[in-house]
Amino acid sequence: MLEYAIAIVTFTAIYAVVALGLNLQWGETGLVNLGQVGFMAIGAYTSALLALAGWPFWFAIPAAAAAAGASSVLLVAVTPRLREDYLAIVTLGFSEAIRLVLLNEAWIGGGARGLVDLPQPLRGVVPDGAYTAAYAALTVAALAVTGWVFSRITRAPIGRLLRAVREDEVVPQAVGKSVLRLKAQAFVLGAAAAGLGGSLYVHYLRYIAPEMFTAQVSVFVLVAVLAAGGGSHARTVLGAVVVAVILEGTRFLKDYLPGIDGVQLAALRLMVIGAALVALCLWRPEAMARREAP
Amino acid sequence: MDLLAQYALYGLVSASILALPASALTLVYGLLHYPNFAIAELVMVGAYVAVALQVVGVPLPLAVGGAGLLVGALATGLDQGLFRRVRRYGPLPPLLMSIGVMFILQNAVRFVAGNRMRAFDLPVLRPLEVLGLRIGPYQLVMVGVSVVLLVVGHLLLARTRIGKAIRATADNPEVALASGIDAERVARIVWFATGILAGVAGGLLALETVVSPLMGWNLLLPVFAVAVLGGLGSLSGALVGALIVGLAQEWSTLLLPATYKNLVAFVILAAILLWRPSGLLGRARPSGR
Repeated sequence: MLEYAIAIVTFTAIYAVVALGLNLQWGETGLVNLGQVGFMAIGAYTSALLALAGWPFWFAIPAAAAAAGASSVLLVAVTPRLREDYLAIVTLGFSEAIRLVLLNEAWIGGGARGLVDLPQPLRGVVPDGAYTAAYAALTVAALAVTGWVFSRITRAPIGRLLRAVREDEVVPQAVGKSVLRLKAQAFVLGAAAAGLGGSLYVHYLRYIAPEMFTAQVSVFVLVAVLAAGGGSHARTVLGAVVVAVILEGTRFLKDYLPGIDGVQLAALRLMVIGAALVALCLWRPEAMARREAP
Repeated sequence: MDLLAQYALYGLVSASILALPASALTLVYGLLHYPNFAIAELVMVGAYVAVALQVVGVPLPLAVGGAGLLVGALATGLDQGLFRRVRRYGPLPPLLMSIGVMFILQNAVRFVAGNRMRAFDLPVLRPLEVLGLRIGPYQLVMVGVSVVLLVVGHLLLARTRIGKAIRATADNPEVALASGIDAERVARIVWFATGILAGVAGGLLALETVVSPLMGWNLLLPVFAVAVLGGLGSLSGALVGALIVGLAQEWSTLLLPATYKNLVAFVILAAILLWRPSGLLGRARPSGR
């Protein structure tokens, strides 16, 4: 039971890191991103491959965040003026493209079979009996650092500029700021958080495969951010807690629901997430629409 | 050369299937100005309904037609119950809602039918040889039914009163409203048509492939590539887009693994958005509304 609680804390912290990234892009800056899982995948494969090649974790994990952030520059560069509905399909398609490449190019990360026996940070440093707790502490620490950095950013002058981009792009332009540059900064930071989360995810599970990075995960993160209403870091973490509890905290339900098998329980869980998304749209449609009339 | 022609024929078959949901996507976009991400899942539901009906003994044409009507009703219900309520908040709320609906539909089917693959209970027929090219009899049916449906749809839109009302509302909702067109009725009819197109597409697709809960998801990128390529909102654009994407996807399998088909669709989508965001045949986008 304690192990179960520790696992839920770990998953929650990881989801929360990725959700904070999306919140910076979407909640603060108004940039639609339905492909957060693509940046998780880039970060995860980066640190997994580096760690397998013998690089230390103090290098591999930051490199994961950096690789994910750098790859998002590409996306921003090609989609500077896209409207939000087009940006939604492009980001979703981008993450699916990443997954397809990882699936087909076995030389990168073993293709569909993936890579197993990934090295783990702190392994050997802490006693094996306390390892899962130590890893949970590591993910919570990563969440704390991400939250601290992001709240510093949003409270700084640049945070006001990002919100100005969300409200009305003409305003930052009028005071001589490059909207494209601001968007790129928010996008890169948010993608870097996803890369960090992806990296923490696979080193926890000790294996990596393309199937872990389907578009579903982007929707989980999206629901966490929307549930928080966008904008507040603390509430975004709370949103991630709710989503993680729906996803990971319902595994034991199988014992209490006779006549429902594993596939059905998994399907039911995803239906709950879908219903939550629909309900959020019904409940607060104006919160997710841009402030200016479309 | 023969291989190119053979794969061009396969491309035509793919195009005939892609054209239906892409037309559905573009119809709703043209009228209501948001993309419906659940469109591919409606195709999947149509495939399951058609297979379920046929397996219990309903003749194939009725099973496919029944799938069209049932998904039509489902689509209208989704619009009336959900999408209509958030329509006036711009594209994002209905768009996100359609993603939630996508999750619900895909997993409701998985809950009921499991992950097992299913297929029509039909005899295997030998492919026909025409001018040295091979085509399966079922593939001929797919292309034929799709073309008939698209032609009928085009005539309805071009020649009938309700078609005129749909075009008028898509062009300018205020003027249409002022001339006494019931915009809600137009929306209901368009959503029903959307469901018929998607449901029949599902039934047709099941003639060629096995049916699984993921088949909708696998269709999503190509369908969007087609609709965006044709210019969201343009029906004739969707046809041209379907031909281009269908051909590109099938020809790509001569060089790349078949699992890269959807990557090809995404590359087309991204390229067109970079080069001409309003699509090949699209008019300037309906901005300022």
